[in-house]
Amino acid sequence: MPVAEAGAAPPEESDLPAPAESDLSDGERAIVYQWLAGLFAREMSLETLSAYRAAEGVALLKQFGAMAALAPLVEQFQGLVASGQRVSAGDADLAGAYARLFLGVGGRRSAPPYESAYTSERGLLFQEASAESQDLLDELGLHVDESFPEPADHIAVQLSVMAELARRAEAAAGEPARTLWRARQRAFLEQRLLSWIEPFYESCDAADRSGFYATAARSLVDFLKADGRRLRDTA
Amino acid sequence: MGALGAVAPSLLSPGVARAAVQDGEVLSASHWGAFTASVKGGRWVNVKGWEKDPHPSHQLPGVMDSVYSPTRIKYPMVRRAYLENGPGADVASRGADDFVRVSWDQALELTVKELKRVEETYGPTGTYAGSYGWKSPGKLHNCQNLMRRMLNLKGSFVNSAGDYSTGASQIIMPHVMGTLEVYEQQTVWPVIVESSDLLVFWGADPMVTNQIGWIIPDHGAYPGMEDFKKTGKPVIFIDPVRNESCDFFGAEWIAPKPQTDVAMMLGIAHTLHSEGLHDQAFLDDYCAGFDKFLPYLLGESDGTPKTAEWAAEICGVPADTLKDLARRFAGGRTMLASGWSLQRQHHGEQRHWMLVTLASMLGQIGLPGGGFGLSYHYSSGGSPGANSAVLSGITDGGKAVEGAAWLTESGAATIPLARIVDMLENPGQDFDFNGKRDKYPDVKMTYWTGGNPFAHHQDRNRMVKAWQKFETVVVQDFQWTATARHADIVLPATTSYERNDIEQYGDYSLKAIIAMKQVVEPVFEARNDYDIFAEISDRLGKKQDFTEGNSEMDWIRKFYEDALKQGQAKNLDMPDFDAFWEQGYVEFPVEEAGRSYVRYADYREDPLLEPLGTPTGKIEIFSRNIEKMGYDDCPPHPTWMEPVERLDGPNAKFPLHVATSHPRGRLHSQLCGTSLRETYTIAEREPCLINTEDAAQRGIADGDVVRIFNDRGQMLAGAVVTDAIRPGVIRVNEGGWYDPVEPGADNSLCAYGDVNCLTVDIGTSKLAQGNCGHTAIADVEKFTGTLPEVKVFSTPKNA
Repeated sequence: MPVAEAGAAPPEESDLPAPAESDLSDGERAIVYQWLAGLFAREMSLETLSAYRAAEGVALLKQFGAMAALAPLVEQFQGLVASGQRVSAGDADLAGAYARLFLGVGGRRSAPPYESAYTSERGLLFQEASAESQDLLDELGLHVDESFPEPADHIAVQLSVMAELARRAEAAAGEPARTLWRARQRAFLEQRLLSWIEPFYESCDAADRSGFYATAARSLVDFLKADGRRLRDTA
Repeated sequence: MGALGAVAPSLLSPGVARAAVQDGEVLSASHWGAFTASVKGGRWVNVKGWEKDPHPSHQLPGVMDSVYSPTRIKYPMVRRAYLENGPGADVASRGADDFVRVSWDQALELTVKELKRVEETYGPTGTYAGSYGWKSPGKLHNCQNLMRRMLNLKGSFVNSAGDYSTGASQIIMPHVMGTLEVYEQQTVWPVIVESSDLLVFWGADPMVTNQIGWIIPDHGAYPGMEDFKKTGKPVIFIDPVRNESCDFFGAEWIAPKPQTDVAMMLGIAHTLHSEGLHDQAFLDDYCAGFDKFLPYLLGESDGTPKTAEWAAEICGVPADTLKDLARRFAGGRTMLASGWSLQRQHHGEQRHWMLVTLASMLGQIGLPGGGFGLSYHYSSGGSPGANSAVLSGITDGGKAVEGAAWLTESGAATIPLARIVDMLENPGQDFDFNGKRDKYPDVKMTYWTGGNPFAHHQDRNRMVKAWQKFETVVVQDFQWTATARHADIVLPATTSYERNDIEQYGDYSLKAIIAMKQVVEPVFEARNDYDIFAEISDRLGKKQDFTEGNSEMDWIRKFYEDALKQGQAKNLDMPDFDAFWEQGYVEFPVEEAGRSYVRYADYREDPLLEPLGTPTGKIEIFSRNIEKMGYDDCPPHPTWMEPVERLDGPNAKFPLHVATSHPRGRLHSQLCGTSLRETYTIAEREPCLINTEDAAQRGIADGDVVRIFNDRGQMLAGAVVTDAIRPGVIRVNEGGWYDPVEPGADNSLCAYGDVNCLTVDIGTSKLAQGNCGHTAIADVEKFTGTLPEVKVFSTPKNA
């Protein structure tokens, strides 16, 4: 069962908030986290690019674009979407860039999207960070879906965990429970994502020929840092 | 948020993940030895050598790291231009083009479609499947046999013969000794320790190279070498480098000019003869054709007596030293143990032939501790053999060759494998090979598995161009090797440690059978070789023929039960399969026959009843069969011939020889992508040993990045300035991962240090057509340009 309901009705234009990061509700933050997770989970398919061209997609981008941290990324996105005609070339360009950066094709000039690669002694995958991320999933009663055969310290999984924790805060009955879920978000963000996201960005920046993923990683870093500040204030 | 669901579907599902493998310790095995793996939370977290291994390799942690390396191939990938435009698309961009992830279904569909197209369009010789390399051990997931098993069901293919290790020797030795010789049990170490007075290693580094085995090494040579060292008896190393083994023994070091060994041996042989130290009775009774060789030795046939003085001029070792060696060799029981470097050179056939001739003149072949040996440095030749049962294994489905169940004849055509680039460049052209003449086939596609030709083949720049002839290249591997980077379709395979298998322990001793148990679940979308080829066979409508209805464990059980039947016939104490699998291994007893084995003792005892497998039944110092072939580059008796290029040779264009020895911290190119690299790299590059004088002349200091170059290629390396290498020689180990600064460009600089950028790609001779990976001269300079980053390894910048 997917955690986000794919079939939910699109929100009305007027419902869309255009807040600064500090004003986001837990539910809104969950949406941003899930979006960012999707961005790094896989190459962008033709279907995904088409979805951004549809009215809902345009609205979604507009909503994200209002946030300072995400603005550069959204701007790039809008350019990509607007470039229009050569959809398949855009798709393949990004897929090639994705494979080079995140699937190992680029060799040293790549940016493995795993915490273990940055925090383990020998720069390997499936190290302590992976085990600890897995432990947290166990604790939450969740597992990485079979359709995504990646370790639990993959950036998209960690971002999905943040989305899930934010959703639980949003759904919490009463302030004490909400505070608890916010504290868990803060701990996870600080202990996991913020511990390696900067070197991850630097690797993207050094190796990305397309520019798209370097921008995405920069926006990601900025959003995570801003969100970290927000959580410090509220959790 | 419907749009969000469409662009960012959830990656998490409810429910706690079930650990697929149990925590605890697992016995498994590799080319580096048997080991115990610790598993925690489904992850492989620690490795240690098997308790019964007397000398576990320091490379085992690298084996573990290779599973979790960022260089793993994670998903099926297709080169972008190929995906968009099909076979033959923009082949010049291989190595530089993007790769795009595809589903397994799409990757296999593309592969099967192309296998069929090539077969239908170009016929049985359109597909080259001579795929060679150090595939992982295991009797089932033998990816090369499995691939050819599938291809035999599809139709046909072009196969390859021989290997890169012993290309020349394995062809000449059957003419000379009647056996392959290079892959045979040696007079065992306890006998050497007891009976040899002098141990000579000629072009070998046994402490380094015995770490690895083709199956599971038992490392039995190490106690042997340690025991010999304790006796205090003399050891001599003949090698341009004072290698690690020479230091281990505290041995005497003699450093001839590379590639001149035949001349050096002739000088020793001449001294033996002129001083009457040779064993004429042995030559008469056990050898054929010494009388035809002698006029050459004495110069009666060509006007040049091969005196010690003559030899000294060529090999650079003083004549007095050569004479002294002759006297010492003849003065007691001497074992001449040669490595294979000698025969991976132009005219490589001559060197081991001359070594056998020298040993024949000494007359100690078949006596305890005397004679010659061609496998003391490899897979622990000389480790005492057990009374054992032997496993069968998956076959390629080809026709079995009489008397050698492990060899089959498959394929529509066969080339000597090191001639692959000649084949690509010259389809239809004649080539000679061991008395036969054939034509190079016109191949259009290759499927490569369990090997990395962009490491092991010579003359990289020439190869990169020739590789473009392939319209389609499929590579199935577990990591992004240079070969995978130059492919069109890349399929992710599991490592040995993500599947179950079974293998023999001790290449020569066969001391045990080990259950190679799965350590961890397959990572990412990697699939087992068996499953990949079963699925391709299925898509060809041949699944039942491929699997014979067997699963992985069915096959493993069957291989064991075949061995069990032999064991029962020999009254060996072997458990049934289930008990064996539970225990993890079964050992076999080493008995007196194994502990006292002397190679050729039978032949010496009774040469008429135990003749050799040569035409004369004797050691052939002169070969009529080779004479009949009439090859200008392989005369009918051991002969000194100038190689195409050598240090101080006639018209040498460059002043230094490049020695390309086997590395200490890798198996050829395997594990170059792991943290073991930290144990040997200099300035993040392959180390280059250079003599103090040569370095001083060029202003090179220890630790400098240097550029090594000749008219074939150029590469960077990190200088190690030392006196442990003779002047005029530099050494860069083979197997460094090819890392072109400009992939696909003409004569691109290799940033990391693939020494095959410099080596010559010609056959050893028309006889064996082996590779000449040790034939290279070059020059070196301090590198002063902008240093290109090494990018072949996925070490993240800030890790």
